[in-house]
Amino acid sequence: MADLNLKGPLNLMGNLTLKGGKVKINGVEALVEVTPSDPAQSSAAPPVILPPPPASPLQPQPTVWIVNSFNKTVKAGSKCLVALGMAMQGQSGAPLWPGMVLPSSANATVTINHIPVNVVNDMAVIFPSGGSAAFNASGQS
Amino acid sequence: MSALSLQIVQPKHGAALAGAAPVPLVGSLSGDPAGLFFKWFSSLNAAASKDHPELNTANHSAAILNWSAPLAEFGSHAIVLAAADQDGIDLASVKAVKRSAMAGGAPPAAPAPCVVHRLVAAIRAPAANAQLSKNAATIEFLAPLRWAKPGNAASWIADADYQAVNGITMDLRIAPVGAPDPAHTADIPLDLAALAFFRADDKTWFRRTGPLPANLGTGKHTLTLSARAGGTAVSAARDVTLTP
Repeated sequence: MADLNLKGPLNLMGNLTLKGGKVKINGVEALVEVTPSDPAQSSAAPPVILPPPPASPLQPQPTVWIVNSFNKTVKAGSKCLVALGMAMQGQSGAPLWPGMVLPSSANATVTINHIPVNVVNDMAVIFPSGGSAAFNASGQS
Repeated sequence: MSALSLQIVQPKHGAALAGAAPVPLVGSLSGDPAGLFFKWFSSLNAAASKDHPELNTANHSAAILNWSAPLAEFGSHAIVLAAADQDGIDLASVKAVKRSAMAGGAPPAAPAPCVVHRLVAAIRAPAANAQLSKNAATIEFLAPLRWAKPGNAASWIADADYQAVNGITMDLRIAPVGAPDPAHTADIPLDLAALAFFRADDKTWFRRTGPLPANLGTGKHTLTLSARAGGTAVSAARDVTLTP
């Protein structure tokens, strides 16, 4: 099925389910909310080395998932598009370290309730480490 | 509901921390603080645990926007101030967050980064009043807490993620004891990334080996190690006897 490529300026409001192939914004896949047992959306974040040496780090895995989109109304299939939200880094299935998705750096024109939709290569800051995770996978299947 | 925005007022990004006084941590919030929980984080927080990686474990109220913490661990701390309408950091709590804001983090991605540098200078070798060969000097001194990390097979490897954030430089000065003698004094800059490191006493140490500058004489000298950042320096010194 063909992808749905959205181009702005476009502000999406109300409950809306986009069906078909992948949802893209100006040709780049939109990020969606996932669960931490799904494939990671970022696999190369700086590890959270806490507590620091000489203690052993609790969960140094570089994998990150967007577990909570602040948008709950516009979906790609069954998954909420991300327009800011919360991420977690760590072990698949049970990550420990919370973080926050940053405003999109690549998309300013396609919005949900006037908040730009996040796309692949947008980032989150993980709170305990202050490190940044770049999302190289959208989570859309 | 108004949009939230947080700002770290203190410490300033790039500040150096010297001395024993607690470090002021001051934040400001734009938006409605009702129902929010506030947390300060440091990437070098030695007391971090699974449930409480934050610095302010006992108080998550808005009062913590004007607080202080020791930030005693040697190295460059990435500081984050976060606010959310859920107090927990478990998966269920994070999934339930509806309002959140943050400030700080490490550059280059963080829009308003906050990295501060705790300075410590500690010489391991040579011992005080020991002999130090000008032709083959070995000088050992403390490295930042996260300069290295455990690798495979119980070895320690460089922590490239920390080193990308590190803003601390170090240097040595060797000067004759007594009246200033610039002609026979040597300032030795240190390329930390190129130095060997090793583990001892549960800490990471640098080791500089090789000849000392030729303008140095022999006899009693003072060896001074300085750690620097943001225009501030912390030093440690000991007397040594230079030999040919």
